[in-house]
Amino acid sequence: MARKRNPSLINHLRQFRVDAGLTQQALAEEIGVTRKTINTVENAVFIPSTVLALKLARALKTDVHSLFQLPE
Amino acid sequence: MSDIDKLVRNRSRILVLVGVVFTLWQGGDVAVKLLPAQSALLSIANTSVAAGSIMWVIAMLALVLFQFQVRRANAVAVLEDDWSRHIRNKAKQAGFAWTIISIVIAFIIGKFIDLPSDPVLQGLILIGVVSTIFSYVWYEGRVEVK
Repeated sequence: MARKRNPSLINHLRQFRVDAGLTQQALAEEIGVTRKTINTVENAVFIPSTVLALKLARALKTDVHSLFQLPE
Repeated sequence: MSDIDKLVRNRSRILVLVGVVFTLWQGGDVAVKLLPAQSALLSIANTSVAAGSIMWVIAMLALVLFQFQVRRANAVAVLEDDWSRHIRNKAKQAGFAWTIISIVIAFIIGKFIDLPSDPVLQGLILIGVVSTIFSYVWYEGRVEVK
């Protein structure tokens, strides 16, 4: 079943994660969430909280604005 | 499948068990109160209450065992992550919506026939609880996007 994707936030999480050589599972373990959280954020099903966005950015050694952007 | 994924899967299974057993137990009790004394369905309703109440104890034991599992795996915070809180809120919204719909239906039916308040209220509580539980499991189990 296809999930409704949220168009209000563009994210590059998958690209940064793959570049860092991490699986969804590995990234999830690093920031202390379930793999499903990473999966749903990557696929724009779910907009992360500020804290989660900051944790993701820190784990991927980047800033939040590089990971998530508002659409033009 | 990681240990956390297994715990997430177990949580869904236990919630399904709790939802089904609660429905058997309380749904049977509502039916016993609503059915006429000579109804052939009364024995089924009574069996449902008896089986449901026994299985409720088993479901609660399963829930306690699951909590031990989660604590042993140091996974309390992981299982309470953003996605989990998000779908829990959605499940509460769904449960609220189903309860309101049920109240409206009961209200309309009550305009035409005399409804006994006790089993109707019990039924509404049952719908509120069970729809919330099953909504959570449904949101949790939706197929992931690759």
